[in-house]
Amino acid sequence: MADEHWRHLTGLDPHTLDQLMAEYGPTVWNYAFLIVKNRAMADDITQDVFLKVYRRFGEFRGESSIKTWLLRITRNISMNYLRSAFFRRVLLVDRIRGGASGASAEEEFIDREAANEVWRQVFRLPAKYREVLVLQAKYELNVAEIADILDIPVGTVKSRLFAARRRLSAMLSEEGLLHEAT
Amino acid sequence: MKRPDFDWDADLSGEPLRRRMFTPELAARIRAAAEAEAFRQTGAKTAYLRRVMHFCAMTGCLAAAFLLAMHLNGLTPVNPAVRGSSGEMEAVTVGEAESARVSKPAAEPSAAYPSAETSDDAARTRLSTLNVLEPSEVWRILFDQSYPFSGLEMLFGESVGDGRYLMVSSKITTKDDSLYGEVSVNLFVLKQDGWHWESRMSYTLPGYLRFGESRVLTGWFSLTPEEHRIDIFTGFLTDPDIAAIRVVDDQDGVYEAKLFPASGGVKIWFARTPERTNRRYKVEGLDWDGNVVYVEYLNWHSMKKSE
Repeated sequence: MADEHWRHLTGLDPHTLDQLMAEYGPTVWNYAFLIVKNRAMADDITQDVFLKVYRRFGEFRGESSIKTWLLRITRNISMNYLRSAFFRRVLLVDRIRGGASGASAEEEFIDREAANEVWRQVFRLPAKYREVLVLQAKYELNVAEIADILDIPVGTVKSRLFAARRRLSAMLSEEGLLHEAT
Repeated sequence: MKRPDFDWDADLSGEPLRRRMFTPELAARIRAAAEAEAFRQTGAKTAYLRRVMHFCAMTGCLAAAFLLAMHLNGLTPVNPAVRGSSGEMEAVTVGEAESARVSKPAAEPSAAYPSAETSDDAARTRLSTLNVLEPSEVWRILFDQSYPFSGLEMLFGESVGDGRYLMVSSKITTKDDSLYGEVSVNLFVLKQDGWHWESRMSYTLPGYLRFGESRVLTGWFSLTPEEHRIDIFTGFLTDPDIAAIRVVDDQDGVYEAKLFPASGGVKIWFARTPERTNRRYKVEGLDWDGNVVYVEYLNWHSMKKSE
């Protein structure tokens, strides 16, 4: 559905909420998961995002695209989850019988379910590199939009993008999937 | 196959995971929560109107009772010292007699005669105290409103010390030949105005467990603060040869796990240890004859802090 449609809405009802979720549900879930790397938490964050949007859709002024607006909300809520007292208090171990390597269930899940080797390596990048790279490559945002979502200067976005690409290239080279950069 | 540098941009334009994780069930859960919230907001408005009407009615009753008392006993409002028994006040509304009897100096007549508003507040305070819901009931209400179609099942609840209560729930689904599910531990804390849903911890099946595969899967949470630390062990059991599971600490404390049958031939197990500072545990599986046939060691090094 075109952005124009969402710009003219002043609020959501259950039907338009369904439409919004059908269109952007996977976008929100995937972005939340890329930040927190935990399925249950990504579910909860996705619910919080759409509930917040349902309550406060009137705050969407159409200055950015609906996708950028949703991504910004998703990022804020994800960061709140990561910072929350509950998450700091809880120590979690999800060990699998025979899993002597100590890989968590979520890490095993990513290894098994990542769409391809590039994504698998992206999940292994540090969070600050992972985010900028995904926002640019996957969500096709420009540097200014990424800076807006992450609330950091444009210059920082550029330097992180450069570092992220260099690091990912190195990781893919180590895996034998990429020629050394010339 | 090796590829030229930066060719991988195209790979990132697609979805990061093979499977679509934003499921119709999750969408239904969100929609139900949104509708429940809208319902609650409507209910809050109704409740506000009800409170206003209740307040007006109570004020009227108080005034009527006060006039009646004056008429029967010849009391006058300018001499509060004669109201020692305050029996007539007790007859007015439940819950305000105590506040009406609070000793106040006779020189403060306005305080000795509580206003209708004060009485109303006292009654409401009393009622809210009396009507504190059990955490299981709170959980059920929240659960029913928020996740009516989620498929989550409440397993059991238990008190874990002063003002803390755990509710354990699970969800198991089967798709093709794989099992999916989670076991959740909900922590409730008793505060001044009743029980509050404090936090939820979940252990999710890794997703590759095949139907009929014999496994013991262990999740381990720790509830803090450290001085009241509780270690919680929970997980999934699909091994039919294991009849019981227990957790043994490094001081030979043995804690039998509760087992709950779920769908797909899966059992959910749950055990917790009391407030101690142990860092080493082992999980043992016992066969039908009581022999230990499975051991998994959990220690400080196997615990990691979630990032």
